[in-house]
Amino acid sequence: MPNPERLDDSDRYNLMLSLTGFLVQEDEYEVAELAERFGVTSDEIVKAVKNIGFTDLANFQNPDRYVVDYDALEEGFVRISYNLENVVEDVPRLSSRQASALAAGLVYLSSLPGLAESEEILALQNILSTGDSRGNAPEVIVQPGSRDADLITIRQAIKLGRSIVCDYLNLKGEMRIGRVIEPLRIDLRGELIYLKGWCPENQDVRSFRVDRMRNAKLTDTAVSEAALNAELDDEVYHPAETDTLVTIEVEPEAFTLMVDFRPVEEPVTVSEYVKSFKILVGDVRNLGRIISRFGGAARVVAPEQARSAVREFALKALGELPATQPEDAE
Amino acid sequence: MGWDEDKQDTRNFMLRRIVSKVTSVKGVKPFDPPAQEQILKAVDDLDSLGAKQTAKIKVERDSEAWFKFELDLQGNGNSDEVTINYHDVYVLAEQLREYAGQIKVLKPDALIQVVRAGYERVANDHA
Repeated sequence: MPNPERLDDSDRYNLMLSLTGFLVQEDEYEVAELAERFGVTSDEIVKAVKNIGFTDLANFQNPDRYVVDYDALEEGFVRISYNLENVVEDVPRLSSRQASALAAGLVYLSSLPGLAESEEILALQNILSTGDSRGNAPEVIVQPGSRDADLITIRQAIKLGRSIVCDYLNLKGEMRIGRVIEPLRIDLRGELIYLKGWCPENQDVRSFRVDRMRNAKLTDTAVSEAALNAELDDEVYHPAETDTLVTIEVEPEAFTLMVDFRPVEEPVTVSEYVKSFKILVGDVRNLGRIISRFGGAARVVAPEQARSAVREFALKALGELPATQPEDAE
Repeated sequence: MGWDEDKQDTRNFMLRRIVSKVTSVKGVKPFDPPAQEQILKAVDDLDSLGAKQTAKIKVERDSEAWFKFELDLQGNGNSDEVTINYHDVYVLAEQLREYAGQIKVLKPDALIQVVRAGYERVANDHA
């Protein structure tokens, strides 16, 4: 609380700001009432109110933003009206960068299940894609994401706390019909969407790739206590003791691998465009397809066993080795 | 989408291929922002490019690729061929390479070559 007898410039400035905020509701107050409320003298209130009126003098383009009723002030009342039209017109425009960042965020949000049709998101996208009220050109183009029926079911199930039943293609390429999952959380990893859910069969939390799911249906069964009490971590893959430590080098086209597979330590910069990182792999034969995908932008450096698994996959693809999948591939 | 100073033409740039830190160029006069019609036309052009460019692949029935390309959902009788629209042959090749043994690219030739060249490079890199 400032000393009512002695206000310095900073106190006066703060008093003006506080008064402006306080008076924005356009109610009428007695000077004495305000003096008591702000703990200053009546003179200081009158000075501050006059100063609020004077602030417009410096703004020739938008005069009369704060209109002080000086007659009322003479009689001991404070009344300020605000010309809000000018204020709204003066809201700063978004920079291209800010608008792009917002647009990207909205596209991301609208790609999430159940949010594609969100009216709030659509309205915001509309504002960004049509420019502002003054007819300025839009700075970004927004394309809404697609919706996915299974994801919508999952979101609904999480919200209601109920299990789902679905068909699921596991990593071995086997389709399991009618698999029951108690959904807990949706995780996004690179381009992939995972459902972290409680598997009643294994009595454990598992990550399920949503793109490998079909016919997800909501059930009437509530998510179990065990599921609700389960600890959820951020890992999609839980390394086992038998895992192989694999060193991979990536060029920018394959940088996404560093997001998709959590490296065991910070990636190392090898050269301007090449990074190296280490991951734990359950079965090195799975690396063939993962590395081949990038057509040379990703390389296994070590161990030799992992390198040869990748070589074998590529040679089979080229028809230089018989194209047989290992029986126990995961 | 942007104006390519080198080519003096509009070009599409994929954000993940921008590998350096992006900085603004000093000493170059600011450009006029494009008119709305220009922006909309550029988006239309990109869309029509995707609609025009198609690839045809043959998919092994009930394989993972069969599932991935949602042939199980399409109810298109016995067809094991799928037509895919694409913008960028390299990006499509990337998506297809992991399904080696389950798919065969039938056309276009450019895609067949890019997919194959990728496998060759991988095989050589790991020789």
